[in-house]
Amino acid sequence: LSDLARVVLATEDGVAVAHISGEIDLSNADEVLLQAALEIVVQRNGGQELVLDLTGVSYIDSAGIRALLELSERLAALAKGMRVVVPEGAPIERVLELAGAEQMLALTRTVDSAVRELSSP
Amino acid sequence: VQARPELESALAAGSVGVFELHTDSEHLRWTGEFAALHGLDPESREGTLDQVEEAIHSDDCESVRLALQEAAGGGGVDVEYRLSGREVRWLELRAQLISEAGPPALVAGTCVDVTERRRHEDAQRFLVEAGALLGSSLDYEKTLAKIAQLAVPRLADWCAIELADADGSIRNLVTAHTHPERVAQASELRQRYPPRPDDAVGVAAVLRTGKPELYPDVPDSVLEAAAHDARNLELLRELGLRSGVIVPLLARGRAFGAITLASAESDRRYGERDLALLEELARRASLAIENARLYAREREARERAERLQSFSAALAEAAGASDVVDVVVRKGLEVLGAHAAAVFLLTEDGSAFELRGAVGYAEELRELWKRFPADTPGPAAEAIGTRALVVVESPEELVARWPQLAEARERTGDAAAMCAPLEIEGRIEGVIYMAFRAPRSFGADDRWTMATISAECSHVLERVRLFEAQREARAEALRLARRLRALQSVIDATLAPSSLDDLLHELLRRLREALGTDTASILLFDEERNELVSRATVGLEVEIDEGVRVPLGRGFAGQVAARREPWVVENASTVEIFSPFLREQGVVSMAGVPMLADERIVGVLDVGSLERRQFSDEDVLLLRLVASRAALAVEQAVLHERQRTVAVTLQRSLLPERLPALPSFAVGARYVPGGAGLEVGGDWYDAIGFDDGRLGIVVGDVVGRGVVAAAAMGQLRNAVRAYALEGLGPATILERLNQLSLELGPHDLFATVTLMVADPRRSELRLASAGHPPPLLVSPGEAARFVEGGRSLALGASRNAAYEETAVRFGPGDLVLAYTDGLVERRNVRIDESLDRLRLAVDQAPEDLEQLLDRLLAEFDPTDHGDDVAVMAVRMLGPPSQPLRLRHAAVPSSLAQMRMEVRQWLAEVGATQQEIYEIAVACNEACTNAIEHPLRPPGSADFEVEGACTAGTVRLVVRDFGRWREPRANGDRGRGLDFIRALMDSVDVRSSEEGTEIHMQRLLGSSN
Repeated sequence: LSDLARVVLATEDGVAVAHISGEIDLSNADEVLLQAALEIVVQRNGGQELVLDLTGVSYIDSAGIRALLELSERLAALAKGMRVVVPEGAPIERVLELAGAEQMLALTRTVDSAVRELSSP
Repeated sequence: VQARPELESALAAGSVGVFELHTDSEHLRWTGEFAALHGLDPESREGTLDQVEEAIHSDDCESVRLALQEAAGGGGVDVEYRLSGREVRWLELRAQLISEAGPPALVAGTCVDVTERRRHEDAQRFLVEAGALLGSSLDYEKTLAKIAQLAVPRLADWCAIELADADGSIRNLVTAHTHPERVAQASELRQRYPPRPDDAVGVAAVLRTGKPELYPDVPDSVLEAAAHDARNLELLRELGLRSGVIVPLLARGRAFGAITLASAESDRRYGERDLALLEELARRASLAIENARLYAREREARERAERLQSFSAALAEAAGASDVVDVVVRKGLEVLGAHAAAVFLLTEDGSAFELRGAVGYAEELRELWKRFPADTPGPAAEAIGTRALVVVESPEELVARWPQLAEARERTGDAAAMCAPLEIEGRIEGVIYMAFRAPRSFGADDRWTMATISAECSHVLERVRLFEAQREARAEALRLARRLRALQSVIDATLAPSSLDDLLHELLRRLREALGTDTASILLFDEERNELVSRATVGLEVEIDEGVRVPLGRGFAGQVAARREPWVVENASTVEIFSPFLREQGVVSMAGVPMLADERIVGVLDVGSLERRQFSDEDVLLLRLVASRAALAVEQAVLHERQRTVAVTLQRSLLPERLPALPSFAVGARYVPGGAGLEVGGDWYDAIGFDDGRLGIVVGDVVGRGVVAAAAMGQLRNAVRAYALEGLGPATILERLNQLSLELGPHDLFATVTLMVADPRRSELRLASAGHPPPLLVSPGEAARFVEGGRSLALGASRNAAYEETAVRFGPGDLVLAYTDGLVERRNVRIDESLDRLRLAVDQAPEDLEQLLDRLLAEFDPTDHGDDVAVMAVRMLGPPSQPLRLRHAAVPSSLAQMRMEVRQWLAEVGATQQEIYEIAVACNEACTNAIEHPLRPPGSADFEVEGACTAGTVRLVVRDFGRWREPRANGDRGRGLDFIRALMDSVDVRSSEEGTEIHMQRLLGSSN
């Protein structure tokens, strides 16, 4: 993993949360997100759902967004839910908006609400 | 019980009886006065308590005994008691224990006669209670009856009240006595011997004279005087009257009733005091009765009015005279046994008869007689001519007298008839005709009955006519009132300050309401094109397209305009209608008037009705009034608009057409004319670009409005430019401007100005202010603050004013905002509150200058308070930058480094945080393409980024060295380019054999 970004995994209320910080671009997009996904699917036996917390992400480019979309599709194919946390006023909000990511990704403002949404039946 | 004289002597002396009582033996010793008071043997000086109790009213013995026992027990007592006997007398006894040494107890006391006092108290209490009764009800007869009951037995054994009725007879309203059989006795007496008006004494005399009568005693002589005969005297004597008093009830000096009090069994004697009391009661009762009568009269009047009204309503419901006549005629038929009847009235000019009511005739006959000439020979014409009853006793007689009626007679079957003239208000107005099946000779009774019926018929017709006249008058009054209201309403419409469109619509609405038309519209005359243009319409269901054009002389409105005269059209199908709307709506009747101003045609006002109607002269009058009002408004509006256009044009012409484009500055400005008023203000802004890259910033406000202020502002503006280009500093310029202001006269020129010079090389802002609100300075990452230094007096305030100058740091990214007071000054808001609000607003505003200014104007909406506003924002963009040149290996891991370098460079050229972020994203996308897409020839696996910033515009070129592959199906490259397009002002992809270049640029300090 490059120095650009860090991934910290946690479980909250039985939901896997990947706190990502730093910058995501063409150089690390697949790596960062795949790692998060692998952790969920393979390592965390209880983990059925994934929250990607992008609160700490200061930069994301179109390659990063592409990777987000692919991940979302893959999890959906495995019948697993994914929430992407982007707080209001986050630096990457404008780019996600330009990419029309709101329509394709389940965006949520806080980790808490994302976890709540996923853990409630 | 002793004889009366002793008692009276005791009373006369006002004497006090004294006694002592041995309680154990109940033996008393008393004085002569005590004996006299109690009617005991005047010579006796002692006796038993039982003896004394015999003299006391049986109801009061107990209380006297108890009082004496209490006195024996040691207390002082005071008790009042009645004596036995017919006349009620009250004594007051006071007693107390004398010997305390021991039994036998000795009680001593006094006795006084308090009858008079008690009576007086009773009388007062009676007056109070009677007064309350009098005030409690407006039904005075009931009230008086209650008062009579109240008087018995407290004041009298008898109380009677009589009223004099309008016809002079005397009516007994009430007779009260404690025993009903005595009341019956009295009423029998009265029935047999009612009072006679000429009675010498008694009620009749009091009613006649209005003077009271007092009989302390009733000697036989009085009874004799009152009695009508011997039997009467006997009956009077049987009443056993002892004393009496009669007082009149007076209203406006006349007696309308009398109150009589009399004593018999009680032996009570009436004196002057009783008379005074009774007179007071009578006075109060008279007032109350007078009130009640007034009330009753008013109620009666009201009821009469209501009855009249309901009669009128009944008449109104009848279709007219014929219905009413029918009723009368039918009654006549019954009385006379006629088989048919008819009423004919003459027309107003007397030339014809019109059938106004008929009974017993077939419809076709009624139709036949509906109207015929007045001189048609027959009974009707003859009755009119002779003003007398016409009698026809057989068919033969009828045909003989009027041969031409033979045929009609066959159809009617009339065998005999009477025809009487109807006289209404002294004029013969028609006839009533009664027909009989069989021949008969009419006797005096028949003739008299016929005369009565004709009189009644006349009377009813007269009533009907009066009523109709009344109804007509009322309708006329209503019309008049409605017209007045309409006029008032139109006049009122001028009072509301509003736009022309509002006023015209309001006028039309009111007009339509007043006239009850379906549509109302105004078309204005377009002189240049010789056409009418519809301007305002009300009443059509379709939203009318204002702006329909009608050539002069064409269509309804066009013709009204061409003729310059009102035009009323009852049937629209007979004229050409130009408006497709009116045609589609199916307008049937129309009225139009020209709108004239100084004889010039301004437009046309017209109204239309979907149902056929006639427009009266009054309607046209109202139309003309509205038209002249509308014409005036249009003229005013046109004039106003013209003047305003001139003023605004002047104002605008004095503001810079475009702001200078300097490489180091982004500049934005706004001017909003104050309110909707005619007068423009004297606010201005200006930006002066110097050759050395500095920027002069001017925002000022000439006090005053209108052309004078605008002209002064123009002079100041030019002066500032001239002085500034001479190279003078802000303070010096202000000094010169102040001198200029003072010389500019004759008008006092008073102005506030902020002058600033921004120097990009020194990163400095020099500033001087002449009484102007402080500019606001914003540095990136810091809170906005007002620049407080460099402030001096307003221009024109003083010849000796000295102007200060201050300098603040003003580097790349810094923003300064200057404005006139119209932006922040609000009535009822303290200026420092407004300034605080402005500071917060700027802090929260978008970085882009245009957006920032829009936001400020939206938040501090200047149009709602009438002052004009000038505001100017300038941001330092940083010094002309070094161009950017980067070359990196075409691998993803280069991107982060590239971004960092680009961001740094963008910061140097003065881009804001947001701009840096967005341009870096765009550049990154371009670089991603350069890494991912080219089919690279060996040894050329690099990409380049070049950047330049001139005049606030950032230009970037990303270059690779190969041709791009075909795009992937899901279009990532497309998304990347979309990003770039969204984030930059322009993007251009240029491919060649050597490689591909993406050119992109963005103007800093504006939204992309």
